[in-house]
Amino acid sequence: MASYTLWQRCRPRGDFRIAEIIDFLTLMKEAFRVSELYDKRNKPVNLIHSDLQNMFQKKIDKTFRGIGVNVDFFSLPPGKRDNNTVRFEIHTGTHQDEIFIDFYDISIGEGRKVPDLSYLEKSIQILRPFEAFLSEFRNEIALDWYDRQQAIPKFDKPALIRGFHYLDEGMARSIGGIDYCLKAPAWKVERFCEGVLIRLGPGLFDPDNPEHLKIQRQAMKYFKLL
Amino acid sequence: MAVHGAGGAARAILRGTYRWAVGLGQAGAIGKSGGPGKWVEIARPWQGLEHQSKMSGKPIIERDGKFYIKEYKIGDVHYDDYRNGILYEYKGNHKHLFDKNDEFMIWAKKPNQFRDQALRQVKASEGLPVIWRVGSDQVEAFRKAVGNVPGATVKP
Repeated sequence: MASYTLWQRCRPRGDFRIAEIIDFLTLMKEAFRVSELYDKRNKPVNLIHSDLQNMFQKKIDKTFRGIGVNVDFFSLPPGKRDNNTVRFEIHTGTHQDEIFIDFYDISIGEGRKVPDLSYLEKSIQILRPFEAFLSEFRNEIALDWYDRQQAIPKFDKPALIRGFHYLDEGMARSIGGIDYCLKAPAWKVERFCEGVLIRLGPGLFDPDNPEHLKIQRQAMKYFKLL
Repeated sequence: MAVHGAGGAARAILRGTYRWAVGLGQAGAIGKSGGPGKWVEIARPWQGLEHQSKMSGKPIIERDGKFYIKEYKIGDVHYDDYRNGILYEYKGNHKHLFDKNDEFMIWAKKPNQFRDQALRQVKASEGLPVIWRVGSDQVEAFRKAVGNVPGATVKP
């Protein structure tokens, strides 16, 4: 079974982005057809500004206030976790002078169907990441995702090209610019939000499909990432 | 006081030849180290200490029913080791906590806890690299849990 994660990376802004997080999580409830989200203590979470503000505020590190806070939400109480559970991993509130970034990731259990990709597009429109992509874990390992990304310490450039991959203008510039991206050998590349959305195929990227792997390789070669 | 652990430092303390061992580089310099931090003795739960001691060469000290080990400290942040300008965190075997997809089974707590720890360690490191050494069969799981933290690297 494939295991997918949507990664959404945002440059630090120094605030919790609570309004955006509420819109994002509300959208995700609809996307995954869940009526509640839960915190790590198995309690339902009210997606209201004051509750989230309190939740994030409590997590601020007393020594290093600028490093942001990690808070996860779950589609099922985490104590009852099964392979349908979706985890929303949020790191938010990082100060602008830090080397770290904010991220709003969605870890999708292997038994759970990935929602229609239009939801992921809407999520990008809400959070305005500099990079967002839907990755498959086995494919990531095969392409050495971790070491490639670690070699780009400021997240200035994509490490790989994934089946569904959004780059803002700055990130697109790092691999040749928007016009160059639009000519990439992929199923579809279009201007989207403030950058480009690269789609290697019409559906989900399948790490066991040789055609998908071939297209990924061609795209990465085109962007000089191989 | 009892001293456990197979490191040269432990044996040297037991033999009363610690100064000699430090001179030969067989033990960490307790109390002073070079680098931005200092070595401090800290009480830790027994679980995991043996691995930490084996990796860092610092002895496990038993006193009044508690176990202590020397760790490297910068500000309020602890590291298991400091060598040659690199700060280390040694993670013992967590394999029993991972599922077949390399996810932590107690995924509501551990990944978050590790991410927090890595961020704090980098923030306190004064620009020194931080390396997490983990079991070779747990590298991907730890990388998945911690994610890409600039300045911290998970290695086998």
